Amino acid sequence: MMKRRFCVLAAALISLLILLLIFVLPSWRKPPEIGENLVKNPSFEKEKKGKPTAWEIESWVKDPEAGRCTLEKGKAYRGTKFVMVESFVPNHVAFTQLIRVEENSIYKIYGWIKTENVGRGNKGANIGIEGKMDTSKDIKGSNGKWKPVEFYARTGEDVISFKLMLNLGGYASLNTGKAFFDEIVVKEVENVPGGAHVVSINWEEKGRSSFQSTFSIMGHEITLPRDIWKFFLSAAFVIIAGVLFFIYVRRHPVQAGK
Amino acid sequence: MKQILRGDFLIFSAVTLVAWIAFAFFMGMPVFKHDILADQHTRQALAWQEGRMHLEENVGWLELAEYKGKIYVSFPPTPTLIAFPLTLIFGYNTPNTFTLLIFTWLAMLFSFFIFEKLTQNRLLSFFMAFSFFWGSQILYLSMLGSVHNQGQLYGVFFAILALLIALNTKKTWSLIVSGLMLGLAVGCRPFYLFMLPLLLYLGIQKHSLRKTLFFTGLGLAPMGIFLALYNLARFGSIFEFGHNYLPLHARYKWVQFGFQYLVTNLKRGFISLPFWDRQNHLLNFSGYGTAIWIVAPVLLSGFYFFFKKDIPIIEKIVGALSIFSIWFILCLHFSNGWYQFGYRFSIDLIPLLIYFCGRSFRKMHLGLIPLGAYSIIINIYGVYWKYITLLGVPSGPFGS
Repeated sequence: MMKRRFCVLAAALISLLILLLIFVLPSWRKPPEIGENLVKNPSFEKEKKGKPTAWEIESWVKDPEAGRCTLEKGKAYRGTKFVMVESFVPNHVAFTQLIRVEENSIYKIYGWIKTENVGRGNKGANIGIEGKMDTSKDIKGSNGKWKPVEFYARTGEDVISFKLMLNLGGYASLNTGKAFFDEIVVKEVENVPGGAHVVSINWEEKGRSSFQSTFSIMGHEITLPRDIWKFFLSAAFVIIAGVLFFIYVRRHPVQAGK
Repeated sequence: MKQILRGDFLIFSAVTLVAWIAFAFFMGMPVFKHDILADQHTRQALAWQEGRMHLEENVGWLELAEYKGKIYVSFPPTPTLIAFPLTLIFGYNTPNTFTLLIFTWLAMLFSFFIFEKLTQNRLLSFFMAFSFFWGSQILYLSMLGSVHNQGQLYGVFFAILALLIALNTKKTWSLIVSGLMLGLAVGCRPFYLFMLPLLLYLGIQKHSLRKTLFFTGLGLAPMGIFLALYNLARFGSIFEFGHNYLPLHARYKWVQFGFQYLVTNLKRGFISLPFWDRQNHLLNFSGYGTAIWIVAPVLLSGFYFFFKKDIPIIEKIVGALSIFSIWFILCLHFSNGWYQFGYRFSIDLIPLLIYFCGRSFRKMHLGLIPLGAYSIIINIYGVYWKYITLLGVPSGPFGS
């Protein structure tokens, strides 16, 4: 009986350990160099099952018939591949990627955009940051040429990440047409040139992107969801308390209903 | 009383209460504070104190109904009955989260008595009572005393109490009190009315059909009359709780229940899976709902009831009638419960599932242990996901 209880407890703790590893291992990474492009798969050359790796898709209109976001091959700005966002109905669609950054730092964000038949009335293709209305200049007619856009982001205290968005349309400004994006760069810089367009990112404004904690072990950075230890500790407590209670009840049997 | 004073029950009660409060604190919930984000029932209770049914001011985020120039709470009013005496003491600062947590904890203890009565196995009863509450979306709802959470969890409380009373006493008054409790549950979540066939079935095991019908009806009547008159006085119809006068409904002309939502809701309830969020490095869920067998599989153990051979067929039919009526109507709801962890409408099925599960198991089946343990762990994670990561909460134009 004792052996069985031990097995139950051990199995529970091993399960927790496996869960912990699931969270820790994918987040193990080296710290970025100064000036290094922080965007993963920036020119969309890496793909998996026809989709660019490291990029996600988000859409205001959820209907799959409303548009498409695809990886294209052909006349890219760099390499041979780029991404396309196409909206058949007024929509705000984006390729997104969470970018790890340092607090109180400045970042230059730029990329190349082409458009086709983008509506004139609302916001065109642009690069932005989730939660910020202020984006790069938007492109609506590019005559088949790649156009550069850029802006700067200044991170506030406690800001360690933001979600980069390659948008067609914007918040409360839905649009139709095609937008192409390639060679997206986010890199830390020391200064902002005079007259440059700067977007400030503060923790309070960032909402849901700001729940990660980064710490360093032996020169490697581990990024975990903020306060994930609370989940593990709570689960461990409940399991241990449950097993102890189980043992207590077995040792002090009371006939039911008496 | 003897059952309550037993050592194991005292330990269970004390440990779970302390653990519940500590867990809520640990997850950063404002346990003893007044939650202002959705405190419609506190506001309604304060209005009642002043002899009004309408609120004095419209608060944009509270989903208040506007009818003939007056502002009303559209949620069924039983939770206001609970808030009313508390507002006499605490005023506006009623600790709605703590109150909800205590009622939920009590509901778990009552569910233990149901399990014990039906299974005659205390260990199994402790395990199942805890698993059904910490291994379902009850856990995350109990962390915050907002209006939706109050409606669902007070509903669970009264529905479980109705079952417990119906099961435990042979006296005529039990029919009346059981009916009254069901009425209060209906005043939280109207579809608990479909539990009536099961209560009547339990009643006729000890009393004549006529007596059961009369006294259960007598118990139901006060709440039924109150709800009807309260609706009539506010909106001119005994069936109108005010949902049709909510700004969202008025603006978009949404139908609250309709067959057009059925397929989407079934997908959310049965095949919507969690996913690995590569950007955030964690297990993520759709805020619109996740398959019940992922987020609360322990509840499904209750459905073994329908496959158990020694349960009378009539009891199965009555049980099926009750639970599938509630579930079917919930599947026709336009929002499926809005932003949530898991599948929160499954909470409305829990009182019935507790009864079914209790009728189905007599001993600690080995399969129940991993099922319960997994359910508890995933729901602890759900609390973390819902209240700390804030994923699933709409942010800017992108909902989850």
